[in-house]
Amino acid sequence: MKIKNLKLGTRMSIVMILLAIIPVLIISISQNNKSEAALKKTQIEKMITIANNKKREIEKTFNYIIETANEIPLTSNNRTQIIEKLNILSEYAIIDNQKSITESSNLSYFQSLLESPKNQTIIEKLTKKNETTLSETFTQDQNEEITMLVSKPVIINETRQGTILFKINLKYITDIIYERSDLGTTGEIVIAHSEGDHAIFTFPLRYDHNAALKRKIYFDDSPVARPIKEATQGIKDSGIAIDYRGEPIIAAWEPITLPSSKYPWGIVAKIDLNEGIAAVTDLKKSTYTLTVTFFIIIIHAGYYFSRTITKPLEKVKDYANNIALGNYDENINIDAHDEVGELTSSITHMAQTLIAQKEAVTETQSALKKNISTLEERNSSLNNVKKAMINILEDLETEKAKITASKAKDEALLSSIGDGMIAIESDLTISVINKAAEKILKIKKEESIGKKLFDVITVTDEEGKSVPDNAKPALIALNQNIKTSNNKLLYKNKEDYTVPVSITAAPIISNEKAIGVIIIFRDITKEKNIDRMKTEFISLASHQLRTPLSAIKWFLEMLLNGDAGKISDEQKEMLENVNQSNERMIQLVNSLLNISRIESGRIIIDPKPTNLNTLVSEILTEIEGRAKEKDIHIIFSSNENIQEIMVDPKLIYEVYKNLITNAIKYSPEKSEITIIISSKENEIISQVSDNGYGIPEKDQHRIFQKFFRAENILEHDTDGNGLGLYLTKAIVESSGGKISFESSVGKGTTFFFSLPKKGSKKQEGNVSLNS
Amino acid sequence: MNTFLVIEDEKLLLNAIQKKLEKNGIKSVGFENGEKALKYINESEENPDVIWLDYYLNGMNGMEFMKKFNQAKHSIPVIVVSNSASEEKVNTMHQLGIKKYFLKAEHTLDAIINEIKKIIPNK
Repeated sequence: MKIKNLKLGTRMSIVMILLAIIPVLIISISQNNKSEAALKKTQIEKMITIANNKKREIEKTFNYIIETANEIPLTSNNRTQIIEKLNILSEYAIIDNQKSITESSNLSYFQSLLESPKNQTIIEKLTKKNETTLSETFTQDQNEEITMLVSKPVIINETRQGTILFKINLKYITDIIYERSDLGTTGEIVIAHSEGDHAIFTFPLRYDHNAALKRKIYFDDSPVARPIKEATQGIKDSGIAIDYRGEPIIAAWEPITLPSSKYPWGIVAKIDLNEGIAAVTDLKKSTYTLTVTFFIIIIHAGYYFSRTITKPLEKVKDYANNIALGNYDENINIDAHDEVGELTSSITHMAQTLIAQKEAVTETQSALKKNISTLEERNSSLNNVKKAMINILEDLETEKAKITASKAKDEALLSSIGDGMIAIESDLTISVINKAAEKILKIKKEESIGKKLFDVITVTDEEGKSVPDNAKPALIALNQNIKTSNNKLLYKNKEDYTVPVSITAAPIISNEKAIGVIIIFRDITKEKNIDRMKTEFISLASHQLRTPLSAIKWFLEMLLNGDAGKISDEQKEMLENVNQSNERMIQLVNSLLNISRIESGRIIIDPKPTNLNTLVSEILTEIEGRAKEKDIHIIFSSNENIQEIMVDPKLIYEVYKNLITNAIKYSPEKSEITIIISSKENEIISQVSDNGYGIPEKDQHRIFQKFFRAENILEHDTDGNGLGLYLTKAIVESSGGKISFESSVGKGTTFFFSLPKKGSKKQEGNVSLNS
Repeated sequence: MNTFLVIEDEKLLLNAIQKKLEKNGIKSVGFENGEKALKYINESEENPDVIWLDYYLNGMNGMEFMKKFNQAKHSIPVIVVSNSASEEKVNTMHQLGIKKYFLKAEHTLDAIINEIKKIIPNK
């Protein structure tokens, strides 16, 4: 069994036992032995002392006995004294030389004693002695009481008369012997005397009550009862011996010299060895108990402490095994800071390093794989891209060709259109300008492209004044994102050459913002001239016509009145016809004049707070007659609480009059006309509705034109001059309102117009309508 | 055939409306004030398909009419045809549950009737 192969726990225990227990054992054993030896020595000395003391006491007592016997007088006169002195000597008997009792304290006793055959020798010896003498010990037959006598010769007048025998009260001796106070529970004083070749116990023994004068110890070499043997042979000694029982004892023994005794008594003071060294025995016992307990504790401790090492080591072993098997998941928890803990940390560290390395390797592998596949992917996608790019290039070539062709087309178009076109960008830079523009404005393309629009041309009104920015069509289009037209402006170039133009400007919108403007314009010098000429002509002609017409009117009046004489019915009829025709012509001329005034902007617009309801009511009164004639029913519905608005009442009057008279004119008999005025949030809306002939669709777009009369009403009424609606529209629009209509042939017509509640602007003019 | 209930205080206009409805093949029953109209609605077993309501009436105006009308929990659609339309008035009336608000002068009677026909289920 090699130590290396033993388990740690065992080794620990062994070590601890060796280190802890064995020294202790050695020490305690030697200490015990020393203690035992010391105790033995002490006990032996104690026995020696006791033996000695007892011996002296006994000797003293016997001496006392002899003294006492000596002091007792011989004469019979002193018997009383004798009696008094009888305590240690309990009985007496005076015997003569024939051994007959002459006097005794206990006659019967002494008689039997003297008669007993085995006592004869003893008595004989005593009677022969000439001094006070102790007898041997002997037993009485009857009761086996140990008896001892002391004799004193009765010598009177130098002759022996006899002998006094005293019985010794052996209690005085036995008291000494049986006084065992220092001899524990096993000790005793043994008294024996020699009988030649053997010793015999004198008195009863503790362990043998019948030993007195019966049990013999022969003088042999055996160690049994050595003390008795030696003491009765006159040897004084002490030590460990074996007693008469065969038991080991601690004893001290010595001879007791009795006066006048042939053979000495021996006294042994003894105590059982066990008792003598009981203290040490106890000590040994407790030592051994403690040692065993300690032993057990140490073994457990050894194993326990060894576990503190083996347990973590086991964990480490398991952990290492797991790592070896590839189980990287296990985690090891050692919370030790000793060498085991350090070992654990190192192993853990090593394992983790291994794990990390392995993982790193795995990662690297998979990363490599990924890289390879990525590279493959990239390669194929690069190929695709290459193919796509080739396609794109081909497409681009095609597109380029198309664009070039398209561009050529556009250029051709642009240069072919007759109107001037200028395209500007949001910063007013001219980007495109066509041939017509160059021609109309008398400017050159090269000098205009890239320049700001209003550096190349300026915009003026008909009077030659500069036009504010908010009235320039290009800027309106750009800033308000709306298409706008204006035919009342003139363009002026750098050389102060002006041309009246009809301008349309439209914003180029991208992402809901104007990024440029396309301006199309036409030289309207001719039209303007024509228009002006027309207006002037009309004006002139109207004025010129008015005079004769008025004249005709008056003369007709006078004729019809009979101022030139009575006229016949036939004449009256004819004259009335003429009158009617004249009236028509006057109307026409008035209308023409009105129109021309409006067109030339010379009409006064004089807004005043006007109640439209009142206005309409006035008209209704005026045309009542005409309505009745055709049995036409007029319904007027209006908001009673209509507010007054700032409009020129004279002008608006004309509007209502025109619409209402039209409604009457173009409705059949017995029909209904509805006039409604409603108030909206910011405007007043008026409606004139009839159930008349209606306006054909194809003519609807021309209804507001000068002199236009639709075909269908020409059949019914040849009377109109086609100027009413034109005038109406002009008035409504210059008052800030709008006019519209719905019509259906055979069903009727409804005109709607609005007037702003905020009123119309004042206009300075120099004429009013119909003046 | 559909039935319209027209509430309009201008008698001439009411006649014109009813004549127009007749021309369009629609039965109508007309009232010149709101109370009479409400009484008729509450008591009659047949409910009209739509109510044509003017705003300014004698007695209770259009708004008061709508409030009373709503209390009785009728489910007849109400169209307002009025001479005035401020944003506020139009919103109030819409909140009271009217289906549409027409400004008289803005539409022909025929146009209004056509619009209303679109709103009510055809019979």
